[in-house]
Amino acid sequence: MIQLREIEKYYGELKAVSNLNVTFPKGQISVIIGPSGCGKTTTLKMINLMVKPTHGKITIDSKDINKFHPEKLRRSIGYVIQNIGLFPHMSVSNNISVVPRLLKWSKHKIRERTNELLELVGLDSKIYLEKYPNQLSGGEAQRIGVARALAADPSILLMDEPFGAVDPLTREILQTEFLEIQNRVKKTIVFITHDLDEAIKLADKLIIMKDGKIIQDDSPDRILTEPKNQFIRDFIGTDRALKRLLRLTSRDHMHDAHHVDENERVDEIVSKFAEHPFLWVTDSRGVLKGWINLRKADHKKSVSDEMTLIQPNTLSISPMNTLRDALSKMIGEGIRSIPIVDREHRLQGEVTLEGIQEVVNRQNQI
Amino acid sequence: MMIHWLKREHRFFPHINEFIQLTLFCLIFFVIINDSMFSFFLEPFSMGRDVILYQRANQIELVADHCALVVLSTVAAILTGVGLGIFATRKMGQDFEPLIQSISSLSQTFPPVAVLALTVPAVGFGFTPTLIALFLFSLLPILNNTIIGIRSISLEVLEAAVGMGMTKMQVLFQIELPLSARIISAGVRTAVVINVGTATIGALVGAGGLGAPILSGLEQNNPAMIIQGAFSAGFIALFFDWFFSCIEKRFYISENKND
Repeated sequence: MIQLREIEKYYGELKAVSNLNVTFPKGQISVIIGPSGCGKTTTLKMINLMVKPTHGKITIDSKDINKFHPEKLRRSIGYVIQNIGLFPHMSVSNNISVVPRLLKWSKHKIRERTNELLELVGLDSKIYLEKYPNQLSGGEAQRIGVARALAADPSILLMDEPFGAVDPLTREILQTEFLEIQNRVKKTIVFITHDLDEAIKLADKLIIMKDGKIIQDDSPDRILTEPKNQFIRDFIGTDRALKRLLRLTSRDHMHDAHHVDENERVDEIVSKFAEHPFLWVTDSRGVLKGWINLRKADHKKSVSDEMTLIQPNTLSISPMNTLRDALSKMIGEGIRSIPIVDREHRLQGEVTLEGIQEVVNRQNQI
Repeated sequence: MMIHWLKREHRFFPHINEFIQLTLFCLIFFVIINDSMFSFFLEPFSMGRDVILYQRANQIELVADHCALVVLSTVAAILTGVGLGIFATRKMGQDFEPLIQSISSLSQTFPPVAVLALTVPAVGFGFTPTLIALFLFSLLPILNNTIIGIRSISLEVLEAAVGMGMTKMQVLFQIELPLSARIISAGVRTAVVINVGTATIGALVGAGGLGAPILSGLEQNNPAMIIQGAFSAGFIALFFDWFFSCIEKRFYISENKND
């Protein structure tokens, strides 16, 4: 747990942050968001002593950080910055092992840890260990940046707009992966962004800053439902309801999908699914192949003859996608339900328009 | 065809080009330091005189003296230039940067001959005044390139290094110097090549080296002797240039994805 008490920071006459009182809870993602120049980066850098506060006290697990040696403190805190700052003259393996080497780990232990981390961020160690940063794509470099920050297994991670420099598509994938990693490693994370969608998707606790002050500090749901003042209302915009869907994953809100095997005959199944003429079609391994409308199908033929094919990754989403992704795809494709498939494209369930509406209604009542 | 073959990347012997070039340099070097063989090549230029080569010292001594002048002055310039460059890019040295820069530019605007004329009364004839002149003359490119090299490192890289818990020394030796090595080495290359040529004026104050046969040749109107000194100095300059270009290549870190 990180606590900031009565923090003030002046640069000469200029006040960067003032009267900052905030707690970053253990094992959770705290996201600081605000317009440029609101003091969010300054706040972050005070935690690893890269910026010294003019007044106030910062404690990590109730210990004053000024009692630590700055370099030693920083080695125990993972740090990821925008544009990553990978060292261009070091291979991926050397980049990842910077902190372990500073801490003088044994070579054997470093090698094991490097492989473990590459696996954690979803990169093949055989391919990536000897590559250099200039040979990586933006998304790959970002994954290496996260792996590097996690190298010495710090309990705290400071991230300053880590996904700011990658394209929107890659950014969403990275966010999803990041949440999966956090589910496993449970670090205390302070995360800075200026992207509200990103903040709402990732945050356990959301801190909105303006002009060096904290305006509201609460769970994202509370901020979306009970914005404290006009500034927050303007900041989160008019699509609050849609933004709340960002916090809900398809996995948690999908229903069982009615589906048939492609090898069955239409007349054999038509009575069984009289209530649900619209069905997803899978092969014997459960891989999604297409869909069929029994009302329009020729009863003498087999399902595979009568179904409409679905290209992989077009009309389906993964369990980690948010309900907003699901809704957006449904509206885009003009359909009322969307299949959820795993990595091998096996059908897991479906999310329906009515289902999303129910979720929203239920939340409004709480 | 031959050129094409030389330019190809060789899978089994990636340094074949360098190897062939080194062999060529060794071959010519062998001719240059062998008095009888060198005089055989220079004979046509002697215009019928009995004396072909410079008599007061043999080629090995001349080349050794010359290289000693160049190497000693350059090593001193590297130590001073890189040292001052590092100092000028530290927080405490920032204020001194303009001063350091202007002193080093001043030292290069002074012609080496003038430096010789000024230092000879102070330190006497011979090796030392020449070393001082060469040292001052080669300081600027090394110092400048050190400052440029360190300043060209992206702020994100430095911030990441500090943020991950590197001490100032670790940032300097693990990040700043390796990343600016190529630019510094380019400065050293410039300095050495200039020094090989400039060192010939050392003969004016009795420092020896390859300037001696050139001066003698001019006095005695003997082109063979002039060529003896000029060709040897030119060859050594080429060799150093080639040598440092190989070193630079090793330090090359491509910023471009397609490289």
